[in-house]
Amino acid sequence: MSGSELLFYGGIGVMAAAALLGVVAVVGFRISGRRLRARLEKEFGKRRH
Amino acid sequence: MSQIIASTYEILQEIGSGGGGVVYLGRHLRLGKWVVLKADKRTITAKPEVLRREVDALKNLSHTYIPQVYDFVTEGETVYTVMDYIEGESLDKALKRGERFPQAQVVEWACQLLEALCYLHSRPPHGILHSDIKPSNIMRTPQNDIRLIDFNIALALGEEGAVRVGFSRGYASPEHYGMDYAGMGATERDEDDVLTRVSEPEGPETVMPSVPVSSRGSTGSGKRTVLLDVRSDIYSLGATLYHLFTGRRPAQDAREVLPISDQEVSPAVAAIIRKAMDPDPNRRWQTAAEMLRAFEHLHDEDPRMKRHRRRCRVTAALLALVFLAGGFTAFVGLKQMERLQNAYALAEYSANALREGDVDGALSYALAAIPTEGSIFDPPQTAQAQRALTNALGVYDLTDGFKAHRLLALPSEPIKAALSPSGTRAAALTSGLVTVFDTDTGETLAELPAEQSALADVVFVDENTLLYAGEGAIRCYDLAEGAERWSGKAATTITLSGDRSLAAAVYKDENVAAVYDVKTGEALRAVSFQDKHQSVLPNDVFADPEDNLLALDASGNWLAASFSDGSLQVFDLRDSENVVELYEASDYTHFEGGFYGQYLAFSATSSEESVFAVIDLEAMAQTGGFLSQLPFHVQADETGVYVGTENILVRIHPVTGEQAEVAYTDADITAFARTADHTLTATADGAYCVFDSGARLLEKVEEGGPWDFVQAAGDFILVANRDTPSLRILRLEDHPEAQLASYDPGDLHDEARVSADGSTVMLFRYDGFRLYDTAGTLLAETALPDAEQVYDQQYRRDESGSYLEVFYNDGTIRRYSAIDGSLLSETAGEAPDGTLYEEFFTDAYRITSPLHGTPEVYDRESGELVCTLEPDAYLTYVTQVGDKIITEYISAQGQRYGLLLDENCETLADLPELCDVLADGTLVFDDMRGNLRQSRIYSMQELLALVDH
Repeated sequence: MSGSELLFYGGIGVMAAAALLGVVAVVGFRISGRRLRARLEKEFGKRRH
Repeated sequence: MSQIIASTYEILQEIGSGGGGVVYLGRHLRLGKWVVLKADKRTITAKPEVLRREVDALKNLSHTYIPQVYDFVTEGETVYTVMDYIEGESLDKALKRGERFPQAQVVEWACQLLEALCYLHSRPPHGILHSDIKPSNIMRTPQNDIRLIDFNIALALGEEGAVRVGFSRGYASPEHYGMDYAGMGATERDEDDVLTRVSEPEGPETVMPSVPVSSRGSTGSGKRTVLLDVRSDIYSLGATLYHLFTGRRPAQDAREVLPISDQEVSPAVAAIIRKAMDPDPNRRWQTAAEMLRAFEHLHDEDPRMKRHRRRCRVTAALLALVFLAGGFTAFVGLKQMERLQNAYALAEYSANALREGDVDGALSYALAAIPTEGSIFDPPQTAQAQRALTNALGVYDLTDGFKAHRLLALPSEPIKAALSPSGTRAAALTSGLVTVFDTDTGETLAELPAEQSALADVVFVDENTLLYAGEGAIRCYDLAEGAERWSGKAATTITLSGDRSLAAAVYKDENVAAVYDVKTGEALRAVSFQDKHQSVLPNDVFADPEDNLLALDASGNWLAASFSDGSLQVFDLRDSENVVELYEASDYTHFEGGFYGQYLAFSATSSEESVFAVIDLEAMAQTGGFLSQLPFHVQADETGVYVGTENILVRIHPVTGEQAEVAYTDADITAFARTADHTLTATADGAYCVFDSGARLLEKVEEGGPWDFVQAAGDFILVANRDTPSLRILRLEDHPEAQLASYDPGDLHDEARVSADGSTVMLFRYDGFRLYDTAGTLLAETALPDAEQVYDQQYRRDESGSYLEVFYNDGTIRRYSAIDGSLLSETAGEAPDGTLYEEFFTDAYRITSPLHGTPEVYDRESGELVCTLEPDAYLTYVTQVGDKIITEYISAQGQRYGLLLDENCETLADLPELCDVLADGTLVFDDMRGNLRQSRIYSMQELLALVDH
């Protein structure tokens, strides 16, 4: 594989990995955010605005 | 208990009492609606008008968390305020029971109370203070909402605030007690002067304005009024919430209020309460809305939420950055790949252009394939680009001969083409235009309008004088002056005498030839053909079949002409009556030929036969001739008579008929041209070949044909065909500066090797070898014994010197000195297996070389196949020079060549005729014509420097 191909496919790979990690992060942060909001609702009540 | 008030309300029962008055549950008699009637205590002190004004103000209030005041009625001495009945109980009762409330619930109540306070504080004109916020004035409904009740001491704010009228200890702000902590730190000032009254624990005290009272521990006289404002309600609300959160009633003195611990409430909530209860009103929440916002933003301002958001943002930013970086990298890679593909295509174009003889184009494409911008989008230099550049420059092509020099573009396909006597000028006739070029520089020297006929001729008198069939006249053009020298009558076919002093011209099918003095343009005479004319097609615009013979002898005494009726006549220009008729009317349709001294050599061809004859015009006798069914091609000039038929071209003696081979080709010869040292032939297989004076084939070019026009003069060759609008110019090149050694050109050999010290050259093949010094002196000649049993030969250079190792089928190995040719040793060894399989090693690779099969390159460390090399050639040697690898092959046609490879085994250069690689990396080329040439390996920088030069 030439350097250029390495750059191209490597870049695609990095993008795909970043996108995958992004999905994982979104799911993770959604779950943790939901838990946190539940915890805060328990402490402070429902969010008012 | 039932009592009718104002004939409208029925008091049913007392449901509470306090500082403000007694509260009854009642019912609207007509509406049947439950109401609360509150008997106001102030009736004893306040005028009914005052009370009515206050209640009127309260009647206008309408808020979810504030009970609606409906009416104000007087019954006897008692003033009743009628309002909504709120189901539920006040919070103080729950507190008394020790009930604790979840923080979330209290926060919800706090927000509802603050919304109510926002509403109150924003009532026109300056807002209304509740002034007595405390748990007992907060009703909890069955729906778990709250209502702020008991507006007994509610105050309409003035522009400066309001004077306090009462307070509840612990919940009332310091201002209620007349304490002013405004400014730096909370300080009790002039307590003696303020109006203060201690009330019952559960009821607000009613203050009698202007009545001096003593506060705790205070002495002295004098009084001072501290105005209340919205911040007093905020303090009271903070104190109420404090109680609700902690279960502890706040201390009366704001400075002595115990702080809320983190175990009791969340720090954020504690901070809100702490700020609401700050003794200094300036440091409290300044409005209920501000405090409400603080509660509403508890979620957003929570450190965990902030941390969560920060993590989200940082993660998103990082991933976006990584994604973008990946995208940019991929983009760079894509652009590089695009440019790489472009470079590959350009390298291919360069190779094609070189095959077509367009050296400038090849160089241009090769340079375009080399990245020079220094941009990150530029791919690394490709081996293909370097190969294209190397081949375009021809740095490793060190054989002497005609090399592609230029491709001259024409405005349209050529009809005629000519070279000047020394080859420095080329002219082509295209449709109605003669274009003249400098063959060396490719510069266009002239563009001259020509007769619109394919019969039109162009001939060079000398390097700067052109004679051509111009528009309406034969014209002589001076290229040096850039001007026409003279013109004559209309002409198409033009011929020059051997000494180039006279020109004869015929216009199409006219029956007269005009003879001109080339120098002056003077028409010397007109030769009448009587009733004959030359052969002309009905449409002569597009093609000239070149069937006519029109030739002057060397001195311009004789003019030979063929005619459309198949006759051939020779006119004596000195005596117009003397006409020699060689053929009368015949079936011959095609004539060729010319004069060699007194001899006219010609061929005449019909559909049945072709005849070649030589006529001695002085003796008026035929000296020789042939008859054949195949056509003869004849040229005769001052150098001799040349006849070609089929694939052989000979120089023939006009009298003896003795023949000397000039060229021998693979296919039938269709056209030929000659210089003093070389012969150029075009053949029916579309190739053109160059032969030296010894009839040895120097070059054969098979691409681009068939070649309709071949011209040779001086150091230049011109080839062109009727279908391509260009002239291919080749130039004779030699490389004396690269000469390493020479040998007898007749010495047949398979390989040539140079000794380690460079003193001798060994030429060897299976049956023997010859040793030469570099000057070409034969030092030794050895015939190998049992040559038929020779299995292989290897020329070696090592510490012991240079020698030829000869391997025999029986395992015998003989070594011969490369210095004097003597036998150094003869040893018996193991018989070879006969496969001729060999392996070569470089630092990184193991290269296999089977006799029948493609050489393969393996990684020495991993053993993996890296690539394959030339598929149709036998790999004979591999030499590593620095990071370059030089491979040598024998093609299936027996041709030796080499390839220069980079460290990835990609080809950087073709090495035609490579025969040896010396220890210092010098490449040695054997042209097989007696010359060994040498060259260093050029780097890309050196190649580019050559281009610049």
